[in-house]
Amino acid sequence: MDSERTIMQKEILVKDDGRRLIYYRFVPAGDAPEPPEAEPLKPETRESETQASEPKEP
Amino acid sequence: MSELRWNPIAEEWVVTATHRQDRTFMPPADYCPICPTQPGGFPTEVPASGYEFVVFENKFPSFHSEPPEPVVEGNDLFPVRPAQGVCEVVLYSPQHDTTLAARSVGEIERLVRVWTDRYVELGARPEIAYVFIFENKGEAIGVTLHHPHGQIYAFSYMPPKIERELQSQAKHFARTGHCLHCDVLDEERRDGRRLVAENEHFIALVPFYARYPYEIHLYAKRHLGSLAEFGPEERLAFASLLKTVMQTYDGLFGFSLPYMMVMHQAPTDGQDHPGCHFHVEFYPPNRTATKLKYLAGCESGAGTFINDTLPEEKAAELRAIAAQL
Repeated sequence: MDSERTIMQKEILVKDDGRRLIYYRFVPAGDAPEPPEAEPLKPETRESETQASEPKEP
Repeated sequence: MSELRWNPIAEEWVVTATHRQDRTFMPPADYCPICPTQPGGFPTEVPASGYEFVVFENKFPSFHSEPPEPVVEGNDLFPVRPAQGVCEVVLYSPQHDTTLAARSVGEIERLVRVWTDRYVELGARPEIAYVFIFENKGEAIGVTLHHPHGQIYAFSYMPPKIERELQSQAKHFARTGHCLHCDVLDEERRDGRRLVAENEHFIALVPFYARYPYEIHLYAKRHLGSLAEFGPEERLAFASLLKTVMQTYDGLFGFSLPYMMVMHQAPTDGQDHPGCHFHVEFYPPNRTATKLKYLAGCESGAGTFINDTLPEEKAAELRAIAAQL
């Protein structure tokens, strides 16, 4: 199954006007290279598969 | 500028976002602002020359993370507040002239993981009450860019249609002790005439109360509140049935059918919503190959839809196409 074979990676960039842009890439599990560089924007952070946090408490 | 103005008669917020008048409108294919930027070409929203999926904040948003102050002052009768929220664009493919229906089940399963990530990340923000994932497809719907993409609106308040759904779910649960959507599904499966397609985990049907002739609702069979509750098998099954529904639509009239696709799932307002049951609703405007359903006087002014067709007949039509895929 695909989700068992690949890991989702996110590369988050910030545009000049402050807007965020996120590249989502899927790489084979156990073979997760650094994501390729994207051009001109400023990298904000880089993270791999996000098992996201639970929605906030009341 | 962008702000929320309260309509005390309808009891709903209206977004006033004048900057959206300036957004790019139907550019030629070689000047698409959301295609990947090509070496030596003009810069687009996406600097990389290739990608699988990209999400970015809308250049012409209805809601803002840091909203400007309203341009008018509100009062008790006419409350006004900043249009807080997030508007994102989700690019389905670097290829300009394709559709989501053309992507493989595996690719759509990856998109489901992207949607899930956005639902969870945006929903975790304290100011976000509801993450609304949707796609407007086709000129008949009013899209301004043809490049295959969907959108996400993260609302700082509960949208009125969702609020109404939450209330009907709560009333049904109080009366019967059951999930309203589970009971709807049970009844549709018992009747059977409006089913279109299904797999182990999901089912697609034209609802008993369809407003558009070819309206389809795609439901999780299990009582799942949101994308975040899907297991791997459910993600794949969801992707598979999404593709089936979209291919069925494209087989209807011999052209890529315009539609609105909207996801209804659990709010992220920090409250418990046990009655929420994940589902996707498709509203294609076509009632024939050449005629559209318009939201005219009765729909817009009275809030009552008039469907010129029988859901049972339209479901049979769609089911026959789905069976041949």
